[in-house]
Amino acid sequence: MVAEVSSGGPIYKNYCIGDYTIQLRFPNQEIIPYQVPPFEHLITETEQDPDLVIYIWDSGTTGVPMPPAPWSSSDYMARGEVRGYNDSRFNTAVHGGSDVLSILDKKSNQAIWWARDVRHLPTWEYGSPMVYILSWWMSRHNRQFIHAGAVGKSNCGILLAGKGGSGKSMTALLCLNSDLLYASDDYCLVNTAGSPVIYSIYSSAKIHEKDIHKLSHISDKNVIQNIMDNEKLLLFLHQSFNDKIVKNFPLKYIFIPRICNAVDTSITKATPMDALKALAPSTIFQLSRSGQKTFQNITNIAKAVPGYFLNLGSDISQISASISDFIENKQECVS
Amino acid sequence: MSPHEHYRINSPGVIHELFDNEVVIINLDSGNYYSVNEIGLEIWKRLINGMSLKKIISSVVDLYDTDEINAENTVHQFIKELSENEIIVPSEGAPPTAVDSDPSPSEELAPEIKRPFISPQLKIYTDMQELLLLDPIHEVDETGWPSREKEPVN
Repeated sequence: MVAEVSSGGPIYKNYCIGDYTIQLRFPNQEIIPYQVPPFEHLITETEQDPDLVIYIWDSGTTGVPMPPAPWSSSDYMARGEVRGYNDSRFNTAVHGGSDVLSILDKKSNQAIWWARDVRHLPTWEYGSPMVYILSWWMSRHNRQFIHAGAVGKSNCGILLAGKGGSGKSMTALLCLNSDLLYASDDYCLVNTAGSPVIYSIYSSAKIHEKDIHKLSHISDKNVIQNIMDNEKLLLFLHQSFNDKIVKNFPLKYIFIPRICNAVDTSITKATPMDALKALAPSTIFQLSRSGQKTFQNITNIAKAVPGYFLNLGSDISQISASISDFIENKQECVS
Repeated sequence: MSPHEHYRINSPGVIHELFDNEVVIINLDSGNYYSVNEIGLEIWKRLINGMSLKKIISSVVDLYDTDEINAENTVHQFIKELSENEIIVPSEGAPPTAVDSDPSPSEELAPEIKRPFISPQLKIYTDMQELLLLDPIHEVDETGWPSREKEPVN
């Protein structure tokens, strides 16, 4: 509140994420470009009360320092958790890579996101903001945060599961230049009750600079944010690919991309265990406070739909066509 | 190892999911995850059900075409490997659940038909370690907040 008053008052923006209204509340205009671009495809003008309000502020642009931490340096634990400040009501973590503080009050459905200076954060904080807060809150509302890409058609969503370097991002971005739709590069939501649905969270993506030449359809300087971190470019896709990005589609398949020593791309059957190993470890290790419940949710997802290996050949022009043809040939996806 | 020793999963740092005829084990503290082969799964199911080492060895002899000495050696080796990876720890006090009762035996085989014996194997995956924030924050400023240097944004 002090930051809001000192900076001219709060600014509100509402987004429909996972079918919930999430309100982002800013103390000034300066912070906004660092936090909202990945959510812009989900912006909503709804008048209804938000389901979750996230207060976003920093000390760098507001000039308002954070009060001293009520815990000691020894209370910072692995995976960001702050000892003694996680219970049935509150979740608290400081991300070890960015030092961003995240606090969620599960009773009042309010959260705080604070950075020392929003202008000086790692690239991934701009591409995937508020991962901790959103994953915690969504897990209490039948939405599982998943580390996966997602592409498909309006009645057939496919999770692209795998760790970094598996070809997940390249596959998702190649699909933007096809008849396929796009929901995610890195993180998405899947509901844990009822028929599985993939929900888009971020319309951002990251790609190695050395690979950008393979994506001739992504050359617009409005898309490529020359913020480089570990030689990766951050892309904001909403402006240039608004008609290709979906808010949600039904989950029908899990694909596990893997780079193969072949020219042609092929799709071969995978087991639910293959899908689980591709989805669970990378999701769980990245999310603060994720554990058995997350593991169980992902297991249920891996069991719910068939899995396939997407064997990526060197002729990348075949990749999106292979996925599109697969969907067309599958009875479950015929509308 | 004592034949009457029981073990438990080293929770909350270790989580697992049984999945048809497989199990995936994740060690949240080390950043490793694991899978086991069929006989490893049979041993695992009995371990987490609180069965003693003696009874587990006996079960292996019942299910697989092997003798007691080989079963004992391989079970001990497997338990040792699970312990060294901090997946299981000795259980203190009474076993957590049903004591020394077999889980449901395989329904595919008649009791007198034993499966071919293959040593239990624990497959270790270390490729996720880079994702795990293994290092808690240590450097803080005078107000207790992390104070590492930030790279300027281009």
